[in-house]
Amino acid sequence: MEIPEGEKMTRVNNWQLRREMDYPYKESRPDRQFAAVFNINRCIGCQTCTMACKSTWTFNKGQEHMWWNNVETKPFGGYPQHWDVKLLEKLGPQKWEKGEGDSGKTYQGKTIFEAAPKGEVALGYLPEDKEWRFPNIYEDTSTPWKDKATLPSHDTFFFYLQRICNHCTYPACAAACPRKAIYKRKEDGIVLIDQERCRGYRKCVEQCPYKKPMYNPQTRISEKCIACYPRVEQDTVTRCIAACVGKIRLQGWINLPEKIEADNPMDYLVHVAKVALPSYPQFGTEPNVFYIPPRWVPRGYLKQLFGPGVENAIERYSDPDPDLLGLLQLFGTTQQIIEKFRVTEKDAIGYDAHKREIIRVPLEDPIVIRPPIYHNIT
Amino acid sequence: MTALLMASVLTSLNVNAQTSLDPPLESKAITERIPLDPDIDLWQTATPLQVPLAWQNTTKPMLLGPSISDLTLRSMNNGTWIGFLIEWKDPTRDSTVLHTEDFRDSVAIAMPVLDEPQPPFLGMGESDKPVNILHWRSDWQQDIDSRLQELEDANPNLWVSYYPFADTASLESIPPVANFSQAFVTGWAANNPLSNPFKETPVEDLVAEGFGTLTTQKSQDVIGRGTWDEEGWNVVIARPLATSDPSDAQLQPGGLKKISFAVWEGSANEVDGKKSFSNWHTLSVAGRGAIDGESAAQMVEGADGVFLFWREIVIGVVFLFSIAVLIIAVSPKFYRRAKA
Ligand code: SF4
Ligand code: SF4
Repeated sequence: MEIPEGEKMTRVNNWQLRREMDYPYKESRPDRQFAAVFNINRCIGCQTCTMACKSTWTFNKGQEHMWWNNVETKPFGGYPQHWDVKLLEKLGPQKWEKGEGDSGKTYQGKTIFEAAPKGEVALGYLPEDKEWRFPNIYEDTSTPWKDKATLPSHDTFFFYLQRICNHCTYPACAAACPRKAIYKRKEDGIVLIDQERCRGYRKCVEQCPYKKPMYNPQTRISEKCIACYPRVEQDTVTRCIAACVGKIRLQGWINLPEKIEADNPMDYLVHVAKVALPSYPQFGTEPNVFYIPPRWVPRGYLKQLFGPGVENAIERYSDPDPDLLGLLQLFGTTQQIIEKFRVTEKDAIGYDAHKREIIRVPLEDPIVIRPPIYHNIT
Repeated sequence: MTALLMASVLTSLNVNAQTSLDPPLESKAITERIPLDPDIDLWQTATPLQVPLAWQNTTKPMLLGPSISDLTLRSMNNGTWIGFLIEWKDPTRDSTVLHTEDFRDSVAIAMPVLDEPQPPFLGMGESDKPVNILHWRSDWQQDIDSRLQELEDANPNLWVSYYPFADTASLESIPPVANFSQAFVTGWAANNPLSNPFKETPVEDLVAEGFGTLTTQKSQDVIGRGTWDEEGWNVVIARPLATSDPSDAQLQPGGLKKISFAVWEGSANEVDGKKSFSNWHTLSVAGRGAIDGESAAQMVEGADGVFLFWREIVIGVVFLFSIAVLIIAVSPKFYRRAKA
């Protein structure tokens, strides 16, 4: 008699792959989905976001090694060390559909769910303690020096990758948890570990491809980024997003590509302008943090990390239309979640859920010439 | 569906299908206390039963090949309490989970809560057919034997200059987690028994109605003690035959009960469904064992200091306190002060 292979997978729609894929649970999208766009081009690697998160959520005994928000220097840095290359290597080379244009290609390879080894829900690995030791290893370390650059990118490059939990539509952490101690909230799509139900099995640590659940040795259970849900419940952006000095981050709610609201900042950046891309979409969890890729980095590397939309994203970002330019001005300008935006001739305006104006910034800062009396003041 | 899974479990067990003919686990009737210490000779008077184990490959995560092959079981009861001695070979002692890559050795007993002719599905019961699970953990045992294992035990060079919300009496050492505000030790604040720094017993009393439903019981009615020698683990799990808790399996002298066992090998990263487990066996509780004139709390040898005595301690403290208040109240000095 044949032994059944455990629970069967269902087929769910993953818009980032432009196809259906295997997942252990049925497709069940939240009423609205937490999302954020991080503009890598603007990041100065100051780690203010990292410290904002640390001083809010992970300052206690057992959390010393935890950085729910971390900023790592690519291509060599990683927290935990080499988290992405390790998984990419396990997954092996995979392909996106060939064809004209970069966006809109179908993923033909295997996701981590489709490549799951027998007896497991997804492909993954459990990093050991020592791999979490150096959150900023290889800081500012670039690829070997080449004395020539072939613009628009540089062969000698590094860039900062800002990482929080992606509050995925198909969380691998939740799929992997045999106790169903991880849940995705219907009201905002935030993914949380129930601290009462968790038994410290570490299946989430093993199978989240982004390695964002972390084990607390003192409580003997796991914890993860909570998307600052007490703040989000009050229409306030997360700590890491609010604290960002470089104003690289914008938080909002994202819709499916077939339900785009063009005045919704997330929809505009991700679906309309297509300047913001998910990281490692090929893993298949449909992550909800999106990145504006860095312009100076070789495209091959960026495509591995952000999928086939890279060329298009950089092109649009390098030559933004007025709406995009205006929206980019709204990044990091208010602690309230901007749900709608509008760009006029002079201003970019952000609105809350009730269409109330919460922020207005000029597209061009006015030139102020100081009278001579101030000249000696620096 | 259940039948299919059941069939698969039986096939994967690689054991004789005629399991009903397997010899039962006899719980020997004794007139002494149940020894909590596995090394006490009395245990050797109980007939051992060796049960073969299979690897769990019905639900994920699975164990894909042989690990711990069998358990040696013994049981004794004295008419009020029942004890099980579970022994298995394990040359590696894994009783710490202070690193992300550490997993514990542990063992569990499952018994159906309801007495039905057909026992529930072996894999953690099924809905409306709950199983009562008694889970002994090696790390809890180590916490109880010495003290709570703290982060700095695994990381001796750890240094943190400041923790907010901690009672830091001295800057020379890292404070124990019990000195931290419970509100910020999230697992503890959420009342997760794994995170509670004050462990009273190494065995947890749980109930389950199918995969993924394992839940800590409100009333914890199990105690135990495990020791490791170079060869492996010897674990005693003991509880009253009958309890007033509806989530517990109820036993009685002269009665029969289905029983199964599961064991995890920490050094092979075994956790949750990644385990070796036995088929349902029959536990036969022999009658006649009884100790006259002793309270239930004294039915177990060596249980002093564990939770069974908490109620007595609390009653004692309240009693002494009332006496003290009475003495103060009737003392002439008190009246003189009150008048002045
Ligand atoms: S990033 Fe990882 S932890 Fe966050 S929801 Fe996705 S799978 Fe879960
Ligand atoms: S969203 Fe909140 S919890 Fe998550 S990384 Fe940012 S600050 Fe930390």
